[in-house]
Amino acid sequence: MRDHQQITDDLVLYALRELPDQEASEVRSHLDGCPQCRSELGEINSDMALLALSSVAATPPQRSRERLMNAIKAEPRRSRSFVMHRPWWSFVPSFAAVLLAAFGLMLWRDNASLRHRLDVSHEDAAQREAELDRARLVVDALTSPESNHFALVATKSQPVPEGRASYMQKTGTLVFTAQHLQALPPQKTYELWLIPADGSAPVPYGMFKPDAQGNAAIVMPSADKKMAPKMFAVTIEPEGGSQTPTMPIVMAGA
Amino acid sequence: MSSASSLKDQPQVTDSTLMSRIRAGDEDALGTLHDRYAQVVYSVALRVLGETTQAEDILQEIFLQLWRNPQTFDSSRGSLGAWLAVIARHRAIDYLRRRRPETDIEDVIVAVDSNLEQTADRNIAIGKVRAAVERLPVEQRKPLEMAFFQGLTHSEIASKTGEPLGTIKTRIRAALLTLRKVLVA
Repeated sequence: MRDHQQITDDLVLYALRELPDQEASEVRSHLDGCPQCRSELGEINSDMALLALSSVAATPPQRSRERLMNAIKAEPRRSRSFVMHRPWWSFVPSFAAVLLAAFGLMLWRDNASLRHRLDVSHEDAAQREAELDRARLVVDALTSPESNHFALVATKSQPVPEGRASYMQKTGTLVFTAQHLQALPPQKTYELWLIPADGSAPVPYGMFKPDAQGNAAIVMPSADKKMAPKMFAVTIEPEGGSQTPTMPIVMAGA
Repeated sequence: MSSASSLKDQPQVTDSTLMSRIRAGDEDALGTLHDRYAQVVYSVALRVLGETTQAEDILQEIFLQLWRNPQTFDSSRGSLGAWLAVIARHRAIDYLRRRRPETDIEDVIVAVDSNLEQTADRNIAIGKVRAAVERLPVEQRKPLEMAFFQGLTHSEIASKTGEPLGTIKTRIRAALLTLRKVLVA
């Protein structure tokens, strides 16, 4: 493969079309990527054109024009060529029409998209307005002096068992009362337990059964063991009581 | 479509306008272009071939090709007149060598943008170039004309003149550079 300088040296031969096919092909390839050589070749061709002009003297016979005009009249119509080689500005109306159509389509799509987004926005706004109305009514109902306020409780809810133990360690006196106790199954009894503060085993402090209203009470003036309690608890035990509590604990309090 | 007479009455009609009309199928435009450059094409072909009938064939062939493929030339190739002069030389050399016209012949790009459209300007340019060629040293002019008008290769010229091949190449390049300065001056 020849270098740039070799190609440059051969440009005159190339312009005169003296180079063998292989070398001419190399020059053509080089020209594709070398503006400098393309420019120089243009200059050489220009020089050769001037040289050609130096030979201008003879006038062609008049019949040559007639021959040419007759020849082109015999040529097929140039409709295809006419269409293909119209001046560039003749395509402007067609191009503009295509551009307008494309622009129109784009606008239509944008318009449809905007209309959809506007509809969604309207729906959102209506929904938020309705929510605001509801919130405004709630605040009015809660704060208006014209409102009447009522406190309601469950009318048929099951009362929760509750007990109260009063214990005096110094004397070992215990008073225990209970309410809302559920009725016991057969052969069962409630039993009160003192849970000692020292961590020792729970101590049974008496058995009881509620009356028909669920009330019960234990009064113990003086217990044998005057222990410090951590808490009191109640369990359901077999008739006659137990030495250790049976789970679950019905109620407990410290 | 303009008539031939109306085009002739408009000497200011440029080559570019005529080519546009030819592309649009205007026969009169081709006739006007023929009137403008037939002498250039015919003279170059005649100088190479030395025979009027063949030169006339070359003339016919080139303008017919321009009619069939007007896209062959566009203004980026430079001056239409200069381009036609080079094309005429190449086609005539092909004819002389009995070879098929090369397909890439239309790739010729002429750098100079000499105004050859007007007859007066064209005649002035021709006169200046002819004088410049005549002033060339014979050792330059002879190999240049042998290469350009007779289609001889550098080797053939070297053989005929007895000069070294490198010398022939140098002299031809020098002659072309001298001509380059003619229209610039």
